[in-house]
Amino acid sequence: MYDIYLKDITLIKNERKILADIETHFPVGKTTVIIGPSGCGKSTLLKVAAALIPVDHGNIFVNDKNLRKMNTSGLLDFRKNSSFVFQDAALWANQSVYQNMSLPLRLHFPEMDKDTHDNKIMEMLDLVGYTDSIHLRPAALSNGERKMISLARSLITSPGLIFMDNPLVLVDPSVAKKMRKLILDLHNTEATIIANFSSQELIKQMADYLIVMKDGKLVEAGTAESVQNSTDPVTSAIINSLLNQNQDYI
Amino acid sequence: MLGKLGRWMINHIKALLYGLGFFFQIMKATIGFARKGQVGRKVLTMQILFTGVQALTNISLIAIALGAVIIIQGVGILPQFGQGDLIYPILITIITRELGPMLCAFIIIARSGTAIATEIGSNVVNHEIEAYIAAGIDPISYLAVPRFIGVTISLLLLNLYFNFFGLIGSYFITQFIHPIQAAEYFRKILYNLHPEDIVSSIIKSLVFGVIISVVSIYYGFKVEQSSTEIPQMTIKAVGMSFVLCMLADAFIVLIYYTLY
Amino acid sequence: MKFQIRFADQIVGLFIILAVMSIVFILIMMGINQRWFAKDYKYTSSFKTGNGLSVGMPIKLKGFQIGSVDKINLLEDNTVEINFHIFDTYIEKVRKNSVLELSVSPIGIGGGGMLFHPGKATDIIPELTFIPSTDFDEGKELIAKELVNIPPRDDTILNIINDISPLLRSVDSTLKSLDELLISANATIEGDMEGPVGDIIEEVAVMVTMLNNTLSSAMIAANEILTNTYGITSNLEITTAGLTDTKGLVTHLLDPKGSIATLLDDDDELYKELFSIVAEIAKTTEELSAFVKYINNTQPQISELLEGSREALVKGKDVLEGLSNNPLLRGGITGVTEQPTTFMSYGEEEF
Repeated sequence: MYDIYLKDITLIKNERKILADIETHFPVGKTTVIIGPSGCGKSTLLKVAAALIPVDHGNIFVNDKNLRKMNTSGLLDFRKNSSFVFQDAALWANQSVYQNMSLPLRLHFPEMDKDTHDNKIMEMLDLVGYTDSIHLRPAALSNGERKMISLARSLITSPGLIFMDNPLVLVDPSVAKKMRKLILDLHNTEATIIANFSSQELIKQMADYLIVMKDGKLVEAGTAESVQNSTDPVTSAIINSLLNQNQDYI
Repeated sequence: MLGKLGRWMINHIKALLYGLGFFFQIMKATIGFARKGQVGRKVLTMQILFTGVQALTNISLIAIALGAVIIIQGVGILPQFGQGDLIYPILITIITRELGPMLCAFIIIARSGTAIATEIGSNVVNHEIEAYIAAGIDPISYLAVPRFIGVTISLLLLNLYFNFFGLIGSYFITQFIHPIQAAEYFRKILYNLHPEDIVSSIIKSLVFGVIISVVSIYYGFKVEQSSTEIPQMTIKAVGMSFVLCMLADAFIVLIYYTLY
Repeated sequence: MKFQIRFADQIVGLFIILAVMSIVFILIMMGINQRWFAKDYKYTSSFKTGNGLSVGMPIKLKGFQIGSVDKINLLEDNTVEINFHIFDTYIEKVRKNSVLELSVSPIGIGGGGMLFHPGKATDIIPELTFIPSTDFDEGKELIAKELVNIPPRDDTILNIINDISPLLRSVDSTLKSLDELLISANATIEGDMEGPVGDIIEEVAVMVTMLNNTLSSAMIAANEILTNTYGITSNLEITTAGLTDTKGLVTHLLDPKGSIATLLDDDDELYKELFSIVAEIAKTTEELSAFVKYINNTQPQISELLEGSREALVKGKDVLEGLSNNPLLRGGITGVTEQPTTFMSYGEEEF
């Protein structure tokens, strides 16, 4: 279980502040959803929290340990117990579905015997419903299939911390429905989820905590209830535009 | 004007330092790869297959053609000056010491340098690199190091094959046009081939391999977001590889002629 | 492509193994060809000059490389010391009294090199021993004493030039003997020495013939230079003719009827004639001695001249070849008649 705390995070790209002095906390075992208008830095903040992109200023603390000063085994342990679901599936294109699933398993569980290893892969593919595609390369799959397999890949090590960056974007409704169900099931586990959802339904059903962002800055953070009832004009404008619509905006 | 020049200079020095840092990171990871080397072994095998084995046809054809041309021209011209036996040192100088490693390097730049820069570039654009990091796989160890080792080993081996085909294969082609006695040819080739020629050739191919792989990987990783950056970076990788290989060659030749 | 990917490990393994095997094979062959694993026997020698010497220079015996020069040093006494090695396969050639010779071609390309002349003795010289060179007396003496196997040379010019030295040495030594002989002949005739005058005179005759032969050899090589010595030669010829004439003095003296008494009863005529001959010989000897010195000093000019002659001969040969190849002329040119030696034709003429 990981408790993530971001302190004074600043990220500058092409002389523009993508993230500006962000300080926030992601509670253990809860689902925190980052919301805000498009291009406000939600995905970037998510990747910073997952330590995928280095920051220009500030620190990330994982269980009170500074991620920058963490040794290799500590970092590897963090990777083993966390996973990231990308907006575009980000499957490794030169490897088959089997190899995509196998690589994290072999890295983090080198002692696992082949049968257990293969069973685990089949179990995850069965969960997302694509066991037939096991020997295909990602290029041979549809976008929806890739997304589902990417989700299966990120769950194969049974992580306690899951980052999700808009997994439902650009997915056809039938696949979206299946995926939504899987994600909602995750909510019922003890896993800590930090997500950027554009699905109203998912936000409403899953968010324990909400972080509201605008122009790279943190506007408000708190429990879903407190944020939704916030009197802050910026927050309420964002909440209104995102959550109080009749239609899902995915 | 002066400010522009200063900024240009600072940016280039920064880029150079970053490149050197990148190179040392690859070197460090290579030592780790040699110790562990489990996960990336398959990538290494595939890299040698693509860079080495699949380039063998091109390399052997060029080597045989080059060797045959040198022999045919040399056997026709040199005896007119009473220096018929000079053909052997000339053949060795061109095939083994000078053109062999360089031509192999050019072929590898064209084939694998571009492939590596493009592949890694598209990995970056498709967030595959981030996926590796998220899964706990160091992209330097997993992507860069096997390519670095694979290209370096492949170039070394291709250079050996180039020599083999250039010195031995070309002899058989020559027989159709200008027959030379086999025993005499091979005895004189072996007599004129010195360990320092082989060492120089091996060092060159190793250095060129390091340059091509590191430069291609570096420019591959330099792609940031857009797929339009991929061809741009590939062109830069090719250009830089050529320039650095030429400079390294001049430097090695200088050392060779100082020592021998 | 699928085949390659399925058997990637095997293909890559084969690719590596073949390359490694080929380089190992080439290295082994290089080693055998360049004698990396063979034992070499090391020796030293010395030369007057380092000109024409170089490190790695092959040492040859009858055209075969039997070793090479490893190191060249200029010593304090300004002689040049070389360290060289002989291949183990030729070690039985390195016998006692072996000599090294630096042979430099006068026309620059080819023909020169370090020549090894094995001694005629049977025992092999141990390693690290000094082997004399022909640059110094030690080596020359071994050759003079015929303790060395010197093969005939391939290069005509080198042959002539190298043959001139022993010829001149021979002329010189003959002259010395002749001089000594004349002194003793004089002494005898003057009554200071006992013994039959006939014997002495005969010896003089033999000696003069020897001188004649020796000079004849030298003349073949350098007849142009010798033009200024016609006088000497003619004098010598007259003297020789006088001595060897079947009806002349010597026969008369050697006749069993002839004796010292006859000589003495001859109103000193014979004695006077003999004395004049001896005086003539002494004079001739002096002149010849001077000539020998001159020849010694003009050896380079002789080389040059010979080189010129050789070129002329080569050109002449080409012209002849051209003519003989011309179908119109083929068979139309008379064969070359043998030219008698110039010296002999001089000798046959009266001048």
